[in-house]
Amino acid sequence: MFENFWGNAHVVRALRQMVASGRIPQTLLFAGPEGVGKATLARRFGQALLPHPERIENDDLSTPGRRADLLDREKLPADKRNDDPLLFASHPDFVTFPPDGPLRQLSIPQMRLLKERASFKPDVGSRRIFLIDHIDRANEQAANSLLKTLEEPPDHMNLIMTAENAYDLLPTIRSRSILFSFSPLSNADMRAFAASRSLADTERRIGLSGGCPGIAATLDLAIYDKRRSAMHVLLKVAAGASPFGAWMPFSESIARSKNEKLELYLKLLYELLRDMMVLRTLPHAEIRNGDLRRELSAIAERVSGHWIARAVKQVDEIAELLRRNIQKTIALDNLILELRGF
Amino acid sequence: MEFTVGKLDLVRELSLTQGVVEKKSTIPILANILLEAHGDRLTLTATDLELGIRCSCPARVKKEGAGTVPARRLLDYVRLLPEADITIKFLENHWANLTCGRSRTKMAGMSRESFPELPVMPEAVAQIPYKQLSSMISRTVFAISMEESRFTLNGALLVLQDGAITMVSTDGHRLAYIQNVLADGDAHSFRALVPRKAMGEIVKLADEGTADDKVSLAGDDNHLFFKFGERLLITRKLTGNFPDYERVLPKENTHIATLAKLEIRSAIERVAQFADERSKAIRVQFSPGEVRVFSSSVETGESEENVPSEYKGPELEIGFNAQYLLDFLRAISQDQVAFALKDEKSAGELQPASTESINGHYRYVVMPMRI
Repeated sequence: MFENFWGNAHVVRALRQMVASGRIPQTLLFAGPEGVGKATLARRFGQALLPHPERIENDDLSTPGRRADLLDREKLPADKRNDDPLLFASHPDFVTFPPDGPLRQLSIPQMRLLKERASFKPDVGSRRIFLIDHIDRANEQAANSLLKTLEEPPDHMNLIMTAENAYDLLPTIRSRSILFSFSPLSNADMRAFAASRSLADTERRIGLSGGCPGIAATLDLAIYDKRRSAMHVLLKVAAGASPFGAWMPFSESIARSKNEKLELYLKLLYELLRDMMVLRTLPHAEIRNGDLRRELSAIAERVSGHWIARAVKQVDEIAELLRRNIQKTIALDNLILELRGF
Repeated sequence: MEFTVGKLDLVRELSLTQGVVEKKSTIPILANILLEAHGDRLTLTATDLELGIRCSCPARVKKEGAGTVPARRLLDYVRLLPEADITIKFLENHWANLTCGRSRTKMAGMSRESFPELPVMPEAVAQIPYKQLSSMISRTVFAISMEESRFTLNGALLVLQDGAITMVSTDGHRLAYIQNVLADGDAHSFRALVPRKAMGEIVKLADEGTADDKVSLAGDDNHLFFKFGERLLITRKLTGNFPDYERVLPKENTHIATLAKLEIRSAIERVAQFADERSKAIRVQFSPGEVRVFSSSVETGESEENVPSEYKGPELEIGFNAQYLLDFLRAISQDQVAFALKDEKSAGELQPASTESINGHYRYVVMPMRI
């Protein structure tokens, strides 16, 4: 049971006990960083509980097929998506609701469909498992329309939700679920994982993944480097180490790539800011972007800890505004100007 | 696999399966129909995981086997073919080769391996005439809740007990109840929630039969089975606690107003035009000898009508949702309708009333509205 799953042994142990005793809480909440294995463990859990489990793995959202499905959905107009709410159910009793559309949100129609589907008995056996991936991607109305199901789930229903941060959720959702916190994997676990998948560039991937196997396995290093150099320049300019003109080509290239999500850049920006903060306090500590150590130290020396904290806060703000579809480049340009002290 | 089948046979069975084919794009195999050639028959299977259907028709089978093709496209194409025999042959790459007269088509298909298995039908618990089942459904299906916020049982309760078959549906504001004698009264008791979508498909399948045909009904832990001759409809059961309907059915509604159905129906239809658009509330005033229906709204105006009735009870004025009344008045075939009432605050009951014998027992309970 749960073979080929690395890390978070405490959660694995608890789930194993549940399976052994046959007493499964009806609502589980898996919280932890992206790529740490929350949905993977949910699927493995499903495999342990449901008959004919082979098909469950087909709904792994990181597989090329499912990724293509999600990209196709982005092109649909919003009303089409609402008429045909997104779910995956390769296994008839394991139903996955992923975030949908260009903004990757869970919609009210999806939550209503969940309620409707949940009232049908299992195809085989006595259990149906529903996985809501990224419940933190549900807006308040969608989350509220889920409450009734959480309150009175049908007997056969087991609901598993995943979220990066449980405290982003409505307290009413959190209090109705059993919470399991997932933590990043140790480097030893990561190496074991990388070896089992025979990943190339192991050390670099492990360093960049922040202890999340899902990230290490799917990271496209070339694209990563491109994005990171953009964010690196952004920080250099914001810290006043380069003139504003150095940023312009990157700004334009981001503006041109319409379909590329800014969230992916912001994530890297957070990582770089984190490394800068580490370098300011412990100049010799291990950092994620080890290959940029010299450059990051140089920027870190120019700014104060307060400056970094302010930068993080402003990135938070952009991340939140992105759900309302703001202009990507203007937001970044503004971020730089603010940090340069204009 | 290779077989030859008549165009009309194929179109008929394909049409009957369309309602069950999944429209979701994310589970592509379910948009396909499974074709299996065996012995001297072709079997067609479709499922959306909640509902499944298996039909079959005679075919000349040259080589037995199975394959799947997109259901919608197959029907759309076959429908356009001339009335002749169609030969279908599946190729190694799961594509299907269709030949009919001078038309030759290759359709992209998928392997049958990924097509879900349908459960096997257990022993039947009852035989119900097609017409009886479908008329019970059309007399209850409209009272199933459509609203999101309300108590949502998306189906009707089916009960077999003591030689009677009963179907009940409710949305919390009204309740439709119909009971019939089961001709060959089997001793089996049976109770299940039938999903709304399945009810629609049952009516479609029942329309294909004659007056003497009977449906075999069966159930296992999770599924219901309705077998219409060579066609089998399988649905997952719904879970949920159906309200205690026996307690909802009024026992003390002793004031009876009998009305001509067409008169009261058209009166309500007209008056309802001036009811509040959201609540659709109208007032019904019962007085000796006549029933007055009226509505008024600040924006649209007001309207009223009188309908003669043999009513001997006290003066009563009750608010009702016009749509709820009309749903019932449109569902019954009799020409008379009886309102049975207790007082302004209690639920009203409607029943068909007729001099001709009434088949079965049909009751409809509507909650009053405060206006």
